[in-house]
Amino acid sequence: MQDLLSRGRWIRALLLYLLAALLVFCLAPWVGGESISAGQVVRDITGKNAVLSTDTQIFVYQRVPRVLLGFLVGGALAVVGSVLQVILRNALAAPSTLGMTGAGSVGAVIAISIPHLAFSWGPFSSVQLFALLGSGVGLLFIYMLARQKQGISMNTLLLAGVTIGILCSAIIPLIKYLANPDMLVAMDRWMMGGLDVVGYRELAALFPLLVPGVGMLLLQGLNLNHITLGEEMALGHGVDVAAVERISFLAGALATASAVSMVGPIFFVGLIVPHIIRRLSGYDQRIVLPGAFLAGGAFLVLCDIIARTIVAPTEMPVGIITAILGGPFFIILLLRKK
Amino acid sequence: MNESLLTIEKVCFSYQNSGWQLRNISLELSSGTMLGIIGPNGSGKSTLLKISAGVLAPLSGQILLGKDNIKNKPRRKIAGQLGYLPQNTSSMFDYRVEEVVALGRYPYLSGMGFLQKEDWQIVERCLDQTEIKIYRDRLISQLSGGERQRVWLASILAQEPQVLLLDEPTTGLDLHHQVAFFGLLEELAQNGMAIAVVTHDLNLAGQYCRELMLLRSGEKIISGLVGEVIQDDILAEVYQESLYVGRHPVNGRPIVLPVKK
Repeated sequence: MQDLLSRGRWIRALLLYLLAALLVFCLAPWVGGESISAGQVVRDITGKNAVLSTDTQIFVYQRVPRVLLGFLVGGALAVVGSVLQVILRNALAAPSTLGMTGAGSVGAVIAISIPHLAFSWGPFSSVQLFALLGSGVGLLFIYMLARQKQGISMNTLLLAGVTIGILCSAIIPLIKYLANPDMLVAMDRWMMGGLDVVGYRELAALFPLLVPGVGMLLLQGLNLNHITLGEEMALGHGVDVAAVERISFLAGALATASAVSMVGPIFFVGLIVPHIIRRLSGYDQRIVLPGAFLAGGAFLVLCDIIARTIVAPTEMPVGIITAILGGPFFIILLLRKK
Repeated sequence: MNESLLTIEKVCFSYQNSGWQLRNISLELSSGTMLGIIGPNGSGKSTLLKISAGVLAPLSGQILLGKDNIKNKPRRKIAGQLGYLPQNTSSMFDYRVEEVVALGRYPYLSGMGFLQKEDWQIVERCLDQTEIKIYRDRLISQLSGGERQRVWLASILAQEPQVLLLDEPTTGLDLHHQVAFFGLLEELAQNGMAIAVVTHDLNLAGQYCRELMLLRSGEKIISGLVGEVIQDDILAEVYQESLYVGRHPVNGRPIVLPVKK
């Protein structure tokens, strides 16, 4: 594995990931179910036309926010997955391991099941608020179970998170059973995960929670390197292990809850991308975390391109694509390791 | 006499939901000493070491590093003075030897934590000291147990500590590696370090340590020079075994042998 303890190598690796992500980011808004004229869009924007053509409207209000959303959510999920795989010492850990995905889904499904419940609070819709509430309840539950005199027990965290996930997998069918059948389609569609967003107002809902969450995680690179040597060894080296684990757990939960509330549960991004980055760039978390953010964002955006072009003019939920791509990818990865 | 680098005063501890207690243990580690902490399983040796290193917080009593109470000292500052080698060492990822040693520079790094020239010089020195320079590019999984223990030690020495606390560092190592490791510790002590080693091996302790502390069931039975602690009646009582204590024919230090009934 590569030695990444030098600043020069770190910068070079980071630049490569940045370039790749930028490429995807710049090309993605031009691709979609409806073909738009690049020339028209550029003319409208540069000419500062008061009335925008349909193509430009699609570009500015549908495509760009969607790509932005995909980037932020995919990046967040990949970073959370990377951090969890280290602090839980488990290569199969993913954002859903924290139970936020399940708990948030319960909240959202409850909101959808309540007829005529359509309000908004700031940039948050009712479904988003309920999803965040659900995640909040799940977070409290797990924290109460896992906390110790000094810090959080990582073993209990893993078990509690998985348990909440399983519980929620049982509660959701129960809610669906009790709900008005007219609501079932909406619930199912939400559960498949989708990046359909129009305009930038909804994106603003990510900023109070997801961005700070991811920001805090990205700063933990060096500390996480030490934690891979074991909690006691890390403590001996001078790392405040309890604080790092607490921050990682809370920031990870925040970012995941926020992502789930906006786009529903999306699996495999947070599980697979960390493995790929570690294979490409080695184990140094100082490159794995930002690399995962950039690659995870690009990955979800690419999946979304497939999702909105493969059955054009309609769209597929992006969660289906990540699962279809992610599953076999992971199997290949496992087979290679053998 | 040398000043005490690590002072443990009347420390008490117990794990939650267990009757067992560590009762009123005090000790002083001065520069240039190697103290062996011995005793049967469950006597509290590892617990005492963890408390001394600040890994566990005592229920009462205090630990002074130099003149500062470690309770309020930031972990980074503690690590710059005290090195702790836990009993169980593992690594999630397969690092190169040099990387593991470089990680020990943590207390002195800032920002993203990239090492400067001076840091690398210290890493070199630690690789030299522990005689693992030839392994620097090997993956730690490719090393033997004895070589790996040296890597952990080098990593801790990179913290530039004045106090070293080691928890059974040679368990599972063959004779050659055990002797080599303790020889290294002896050298470090001679150069001014204050070292406390928990060990099960009474003979190694007898050969290399200057002082010993004998624990049983969380209490200090006796502490003092090696010759004072390794006595057949004391050890027989603590270990509940008949033992023979004699003199090493070459250097006169006490040796302990079990007596087969």
